[in-house]
Amino acid sequence: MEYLIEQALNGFSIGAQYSLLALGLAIVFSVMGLVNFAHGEFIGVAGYAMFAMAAMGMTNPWLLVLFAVVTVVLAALVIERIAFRSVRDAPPTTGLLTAFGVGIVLQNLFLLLVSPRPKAVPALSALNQTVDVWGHNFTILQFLEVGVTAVAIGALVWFLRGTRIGLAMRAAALDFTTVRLMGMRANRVIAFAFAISGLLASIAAIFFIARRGAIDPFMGLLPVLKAFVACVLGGFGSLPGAVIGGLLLGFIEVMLIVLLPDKLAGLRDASVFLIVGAILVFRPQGILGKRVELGDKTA
Amino acid sequence: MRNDSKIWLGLCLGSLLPAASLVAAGPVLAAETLKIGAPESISGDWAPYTAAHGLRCMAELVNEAGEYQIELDVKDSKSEPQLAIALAQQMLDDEVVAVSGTPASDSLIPIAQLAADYGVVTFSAMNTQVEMFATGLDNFVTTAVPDPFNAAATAQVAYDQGARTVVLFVSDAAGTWTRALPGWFGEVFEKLGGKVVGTVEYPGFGISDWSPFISKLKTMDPVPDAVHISSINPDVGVLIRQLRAAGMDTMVLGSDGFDDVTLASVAGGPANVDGKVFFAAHGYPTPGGPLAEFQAECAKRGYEINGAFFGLGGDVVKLLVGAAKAAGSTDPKDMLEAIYTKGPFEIITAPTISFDNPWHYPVKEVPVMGFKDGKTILVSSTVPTDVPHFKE
Repeated sequence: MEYLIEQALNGFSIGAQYSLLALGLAIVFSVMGLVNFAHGEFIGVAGYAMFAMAAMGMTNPWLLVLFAVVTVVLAALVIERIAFRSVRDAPPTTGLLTAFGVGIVLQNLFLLLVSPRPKAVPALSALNQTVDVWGHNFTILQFLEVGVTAVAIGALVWFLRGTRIGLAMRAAALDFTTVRLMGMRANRVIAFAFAISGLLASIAAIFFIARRGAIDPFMGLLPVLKAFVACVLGGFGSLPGAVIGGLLLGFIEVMLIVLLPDKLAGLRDASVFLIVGAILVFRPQGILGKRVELGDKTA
Repeated sequence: MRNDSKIWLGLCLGSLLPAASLVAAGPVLAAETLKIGAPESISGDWAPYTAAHGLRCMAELVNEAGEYQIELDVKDSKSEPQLAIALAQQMLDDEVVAVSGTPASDSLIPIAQLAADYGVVTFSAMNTQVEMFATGLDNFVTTAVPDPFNAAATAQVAYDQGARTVVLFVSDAAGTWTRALPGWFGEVFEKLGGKVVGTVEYPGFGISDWSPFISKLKTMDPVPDAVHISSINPDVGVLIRQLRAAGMDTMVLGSDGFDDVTLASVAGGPANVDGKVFFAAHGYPTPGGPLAEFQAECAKRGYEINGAFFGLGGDVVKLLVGAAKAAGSTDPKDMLEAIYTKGPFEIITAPTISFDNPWHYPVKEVPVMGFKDGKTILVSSTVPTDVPHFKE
């Protein structure tokens, strides 16, 4: 039983990371229809920002975290301004290719300016300490992952429902033209979407780096693919769907580690996608995605 | 002076100038040229283990010595097999005598097949996969010992260090290197008296969270003395770090993928690795030894030293020069024949290397390393005798 509880929390903490990243992808997609595959590189930006400041003598982990978050949000805004604004009205495939290009440029910057080799970032390793809760051992990080993700989602819901710009973002997800006709500036709405996406990615990055303790130029590639799968599973463009998709994906991955016998363990990844595929057969639009009929204007 | 006399004088001087320059450059032109093509993993997954810098430094040293001139063409394959193959094709067309690729069989086998049509040697400084010797290639040379030797040497050290039960971490991420090597380790470990108590399948490279696997290990009764994994850093560093964070003091055994100067820091520092992490590698820089001297000389020249892999790059150039000398020719076919039959050759990462066996795999000492104060130390250096897989 203890084993199952421990693995369930493992599943939720991994899923929480996927959810944070998936939310960032979904929020940009819902506003401007862009699948930002450079989103994973925000993890690298956070990691290398922390590494650089630590190398310059900053030892306070709180300051490092703050610096990483601010750097990623600024990077998201700069990338939106430089790379994505000019292709905003281009076909979706142009945006997709731009996103891949931005990702490759960032990876190569890490590679050229720092090193192709992994670098240790041990500043947050204290979060891996275990605590005893009713006889079960968990790490501080696992609680933080689940807790902070819940708070971040709550704050995002408040922001989207309780603020004017949040309302504009929700409206933009339905009909951007009307939002502009109401007097909202498109640049502002999209910049906010990128800033929030960067903020969510930076929180995921903090957990990622605390757990991993190391950074390398290609560290963002796998997480963004998982986040993409989570978005598809939850329903692309649906923010609650991204959260549910992320949590479900993390949970399925860990449960397959638990349940599949060692002899069948090689089928684990295939099984994950088999389950995801089966869900999509019954819910092609994703778990919380809205069904779009031909001729419908909005999703 | 008449005009035609001036013309004759000009022609004579003109014809003398090249002759004079030939005399001045006599020793350089006397040196035979070896053109080597190296699509190396300067970036990408394999970048921490690239031999490119060692190749470059040794080429520089050979060129300064003057007996041979190495024309080394290094290009970044980004650790991508397809790109490595395309680059290798260009280099073959450029008439190299030897060509490399990314260090796994998915690029080296096709490159070796391409190179065979050109009669060119295919080399890898660090490929250790047995499939390279099982596919009928007759133009492949590596200076890194195959995985079964690595596994056998590690098993002996693990047993000597007190491990009696082990769990093997396996994956299909890099073919036999990630799947069969742990199995060979287990085979030798059980022959020595140890026991393999389980196998854990992990999905591949890039894992940042080993918690579900660690939870699985913790439920085992008894908890294994050791785990063996053949994977790359930072993944293995992260595994060690998370094992210790979960309160597990389990010995972590590994292969040459552990040989990265950043491993101890990624793993969380000396307390997490000292006396508890052991791995077989390709060379240990014993103070005053050839590898240490080579690394020191190259460091002075501004090269970044990436563990023993740097020395393996040096080994390749030294071996090719040795083969050219032994063959008395720079024809790649003669050089290959010399490599296979006229060893042992002097190298840097071990006293000698030879290929005189039916599979033409390299035979040399295998150093097994541990950690003290977060720095690697040499635990043993042997040529394993009871090696799985290769049975005559």
